Amino acid sequence: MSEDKAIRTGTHVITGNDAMVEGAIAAGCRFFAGYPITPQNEVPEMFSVRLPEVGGNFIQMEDEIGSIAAVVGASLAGAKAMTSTSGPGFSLMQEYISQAAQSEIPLVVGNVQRTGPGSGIVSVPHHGDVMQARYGGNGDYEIIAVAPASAQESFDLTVEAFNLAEKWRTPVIILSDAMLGHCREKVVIQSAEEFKKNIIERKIGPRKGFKPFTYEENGELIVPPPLQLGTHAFPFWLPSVSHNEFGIPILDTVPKGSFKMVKRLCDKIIKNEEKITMTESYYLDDADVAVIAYGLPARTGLRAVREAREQGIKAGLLRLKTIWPFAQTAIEKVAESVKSIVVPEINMGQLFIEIDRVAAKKGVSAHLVIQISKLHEPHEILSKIKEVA
Amino acid sequence: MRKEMRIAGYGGQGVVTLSMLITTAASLAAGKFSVQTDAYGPTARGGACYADVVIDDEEIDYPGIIKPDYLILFSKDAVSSYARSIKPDGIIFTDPTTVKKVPGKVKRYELPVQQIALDEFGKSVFANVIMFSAFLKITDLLPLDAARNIVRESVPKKAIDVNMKAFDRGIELADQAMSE
Amino acid sequence: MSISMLAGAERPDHPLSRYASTMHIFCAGCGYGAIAQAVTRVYAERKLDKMKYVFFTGIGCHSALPTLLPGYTVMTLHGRLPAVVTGAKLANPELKPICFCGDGDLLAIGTNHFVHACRRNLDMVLILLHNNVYGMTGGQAAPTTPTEYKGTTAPYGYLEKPFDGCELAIASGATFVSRWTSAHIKQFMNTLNKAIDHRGLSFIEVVTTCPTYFGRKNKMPEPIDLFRWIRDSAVSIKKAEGMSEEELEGKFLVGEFQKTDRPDLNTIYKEIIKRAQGD
Repeated sequence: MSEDKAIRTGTHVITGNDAMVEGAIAAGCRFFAGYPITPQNEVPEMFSVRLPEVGGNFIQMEDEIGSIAAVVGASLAGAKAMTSTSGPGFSLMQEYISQAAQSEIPLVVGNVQRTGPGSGIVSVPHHGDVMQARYGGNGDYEIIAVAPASAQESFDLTVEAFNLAEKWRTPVIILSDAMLGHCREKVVIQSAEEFKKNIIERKIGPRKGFKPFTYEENGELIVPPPLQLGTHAFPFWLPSVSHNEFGIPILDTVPKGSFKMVKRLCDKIIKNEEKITMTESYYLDDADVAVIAYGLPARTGLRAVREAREQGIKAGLLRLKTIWPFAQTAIEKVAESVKSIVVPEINMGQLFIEIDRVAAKKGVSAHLVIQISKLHEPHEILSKIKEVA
Repeated sequence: MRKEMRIAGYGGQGVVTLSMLITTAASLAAGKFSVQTDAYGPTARGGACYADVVIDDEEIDYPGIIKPDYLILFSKDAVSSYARSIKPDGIIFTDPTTVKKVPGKVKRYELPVQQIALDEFGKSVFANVIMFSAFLKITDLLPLDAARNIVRESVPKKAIDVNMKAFDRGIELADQAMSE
Repeated sequence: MSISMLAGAERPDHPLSRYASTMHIFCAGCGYGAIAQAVTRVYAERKLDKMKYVFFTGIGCHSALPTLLPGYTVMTLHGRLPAVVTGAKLANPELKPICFCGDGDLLAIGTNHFVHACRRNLDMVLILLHNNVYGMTGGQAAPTTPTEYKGTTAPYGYLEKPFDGCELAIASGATFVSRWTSAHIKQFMNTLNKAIDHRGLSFIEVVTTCPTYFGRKNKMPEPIDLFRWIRDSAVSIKKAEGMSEEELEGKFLVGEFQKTDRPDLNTIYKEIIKRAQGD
């Protein structure tokens, strides 16, 4: 059970899917429950090899609903836990993702996106679940979603997903895709010693006076340590219905407490947007046109930006490593300094709705470059940059 | 310098294995950056498939193929789908066992790797390693010693010797093809 | 019930404290109170460790049981209890969950998870509260509603064949399977004691009363009518041996149907880790 087995220090050439597994195990994930669905199958397959090696448990459940439910159970019992899926499987998981958001249960869901709607095409990339990641479950809640753009980032952002889940006590979704999941690249993993400095370990609440849910203190939102069944850091009753900060169900006919709970859950993520979001800027200092993208299209966007620069067009790129919460502050800043924004997405324009909203507020034009079921070619983005420059 | 290649054929022909060997050798042994991606249909075996490899000295932005420098084509379908997508100064590699004719005037090497694998090594799986070393020798894309080490590290211990022989046979085949 | 009366929620020191200090929300004549009391008695008599013996509930009228139960309780989503417990047990093998599910919970929306939990021999006590209807949502027909009986979604009579939870559990691989009713509380407590000691999935179906919906819809408006109906319909396994098929028409069996031993899920997963680590 040595930690060396968990953190595979060195340089590897592995797929995005395998990198996700290595990232999870290095971050301390010791439980995975999943169900086969293409194109994420390498994730459970690799977990089934790796988890028992480090003393963890892999279980193949009866469906995706059971998978996320088992992950919730494992997280409540004190394990860092994860599931992964794709396509309709992600829809099936929404029920417990919504509940986990409400009960503030840290967990990670990998979504190796494929084309939809319905069964769609199983083996091609598509970013059709961007909005579902945020709005997929019932009720009002906010979520964190990260979007890796390389095999290395499939490792790094999975580690980050576990950290975010622990810190903010929320489900975190990794939005990968069929192409990234199967894309083989160099992945460098630091020494265990260095690596562990950046890991947020599972904490247990105090024995006395533990308020189990996020609460307000002097106008500040306090996110207490996660609940752990089998310790005193657990409410005597963990209801799945709406509750106050002690975990007592809200059953009043006029539910004042419900407003407070929903607001706290949403504020926890939205008001901390600047602390949670991660972005990377390329050539933006003097840019007239900004490409804003996430996942693999950000790399295509970078290529297009470089080609535009070669042709004398001042283009730049803002790459979103987190999709949710929406990087309002970073995007506003970009919108203040450019003339127009180009948004390439492998969907009919999902995050574009949000980006366009910010652009309009700042009086900047935003332009969508759609692609379906495949990566854009750089010239598609380049021609839009040239058109709007 | 960015180099792009596509390997295409049917599932089970070793398309993905070959692309993995190239990308691993480039990334680990030659100290370059490389991305391998593959495309496949819903079937496990026999469907059309291809794998792309990009190799560069710098970090790779766009992971796909814009216009390939090299094509390794293992089926007639692959020829009709991709032969015309190549750069004018690119090189196409085919095996006469599966591909007879290729349209266009691009430089082409016909390497009978399947036949050699069967005749000299008894199993068609060795065609991959023979094609791997022959391809690298002709394109001068990566140092051959480094590539040889990657093969040594990626096969089971028992199979090292025979794979080394297959690797050397590929270089021999390339020398022969280039002198013709 | 006003939930602010749940004073015990903040002082869980005595196993019976909440039982003594809180009200429950069950209808007059509902069998759930008797069942909760029986479980609480066993819990208190055996001085069970609250860190280990934790409760889980699904969604249904029984979701309100935690106001009466003497230990930590997790309320899951409708039907998902067996899957949640699967994760919890694997993450912390020390837990011995005592779980309550309703008939709609376990035999309709959660059947998939239920049969797989039985197949895996998940180490838990699973109590199915079988009251013939969906009580909480207003008396709709359930997969346990007897043929020709009525519910709010079966105004012309329920003509489908109901599930037998015990047969399903046995067929799915549960290792300890029994059925009692809320008119057999002593027998239930006896079986519960055995179930707590059993390693593997212990399934106890408890047939109980819902006078508000099942009783009123089926010409048994008084709680005592339903109580008698249940008591008189229950036939012990031994007695049933000497009865003809006609005599058994409309009756159900009570008793302990099966008790076998085979490795539970945690034992199996320990073996996997052993194999992976090459010990």
